[in-house]
Amino acid sequence: MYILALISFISCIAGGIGVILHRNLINKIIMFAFLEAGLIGFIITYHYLDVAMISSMLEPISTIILLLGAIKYTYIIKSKKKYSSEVPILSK
Amino acid sequence: MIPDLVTLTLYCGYILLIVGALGVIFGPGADDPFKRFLNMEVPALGTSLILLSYNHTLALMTFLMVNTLVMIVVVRAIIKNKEIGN
Repeated sequence: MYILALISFISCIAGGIGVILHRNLINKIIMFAFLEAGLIGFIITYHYLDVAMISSMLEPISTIILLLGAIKYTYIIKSKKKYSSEVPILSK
Repeated sequence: MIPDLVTLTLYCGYILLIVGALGVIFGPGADDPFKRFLNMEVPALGTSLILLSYNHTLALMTFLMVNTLVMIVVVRAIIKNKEIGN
């Protein structure tokens, strides 16, 4: 009957489990985009096309923000020094 | 056999809300603040599905917009917090 609703249900459940169970940041962001696609499918099934317009404009913005943040976060973690900038002997 | 549309949306929202809340508290890799914030998007989407099933359109639109605006601030705050050295 509602084929789009069933596909959106499967997409939402799989995306929600995938966001929680993945450990890599890029994989988590990809599964989050999958989850939001399920939400847009549900909104379209309800024939709320204005809400679908707003949602499909906001979803790539959030994905881009998360990707930029994830790149910078990974770079900060990788380039962090093991000790502080002061030499530990001289700080005593 | 297949439930109607409102029931399907409502139960999908409930499942996402419960699973996402458990994932935020003790999910794998939840000690990292960025991963915990990404886990926290799952119960937010469950809440928006529940709002959709009750036909609260204006609330749904406002929730999606504020959720995106808050995401900018929180990602910036997490990165600044890691830069300071905490």
